[in-house]
Amino acid sequence: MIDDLYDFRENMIREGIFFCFNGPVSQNILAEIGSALEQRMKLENMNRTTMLRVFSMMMEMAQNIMRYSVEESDSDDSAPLDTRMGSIIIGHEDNAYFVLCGNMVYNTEVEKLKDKLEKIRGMDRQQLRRYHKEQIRKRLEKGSQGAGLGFIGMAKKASRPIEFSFRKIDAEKSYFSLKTLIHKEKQEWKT
Amino acid sequence: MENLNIEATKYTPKIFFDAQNHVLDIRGMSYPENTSVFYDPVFSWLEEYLRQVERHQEIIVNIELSYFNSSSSKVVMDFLDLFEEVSSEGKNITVNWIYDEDIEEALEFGEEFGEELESVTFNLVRKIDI
Repeated sequence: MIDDLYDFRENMIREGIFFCFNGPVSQNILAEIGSALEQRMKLENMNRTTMLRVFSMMMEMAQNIMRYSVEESDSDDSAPLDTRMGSIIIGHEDNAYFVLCGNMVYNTEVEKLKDKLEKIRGMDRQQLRRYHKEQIRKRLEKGSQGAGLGFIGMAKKASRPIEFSFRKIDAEKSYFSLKTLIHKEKQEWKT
Repeated sequence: MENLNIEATKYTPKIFFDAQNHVLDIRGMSYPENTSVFYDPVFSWLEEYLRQVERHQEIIVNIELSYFNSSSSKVVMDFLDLFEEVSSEGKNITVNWIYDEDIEEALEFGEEFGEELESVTFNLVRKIDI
């Protein structure tokens, strides 16, 4: 392993990745990632709109991990929310940032998630706005905290339709990945 | 009635509801892990206040949220619905949605909330840096 770290690093650089996290996701970690991200984008002369978009994509996706990941960092069933496992990756791709997050979900949830995401992928800005209006009024489904508002919000901010994939791991679980792109808009920051 | 004063944290906004001057302020970021843990007490205070306050008292609500996650946006909608409900019963409520013009979506968020209101006076106010 010790000899492979350099290759691992080179791979990430090749993929444009500048931030990578895998492990239990907590509010504290998110706040720290958020401020590190802000610092970095400021150095890259991004404007406040771009910074906030990337920040909020990361936050929505990471909070989804905290709420819905079915992989916990230990085997204790009563594990608190902040021990849910997930991956958070942020990088450059063409003239955009990408935020890529992943976590385990139960196979029984896969179809429902696919339907939700496909529906949103097929919508233009006006349709997303209308759908958002509808959903914000809806009573929450059991076990849901946001009526799918998170996905709609991401789709509204993203420069391209949200990409997603499910990889079946075993009879019980699949690995769910979600990727969004945010176009870069620059401004000069006075130091 | 006692004022409600909650200091801001990294994840939650500063809340200062002044029951004497009838000014209700919410300012900062909002992305708590669990919105009901943070906002339920705020709602309870608000419901009690709106029950007590005199019918024609002018009430000013200032909302300045630089970032809010999707579950917080649902909470904001619930707040506005509550204001809408009491203002249709005759209370005089003005909501100032304070937005940062450097953020493209900030005005749009305000507009979207504003479209849902009829009885409440809803102002979109551009933030001025001091």
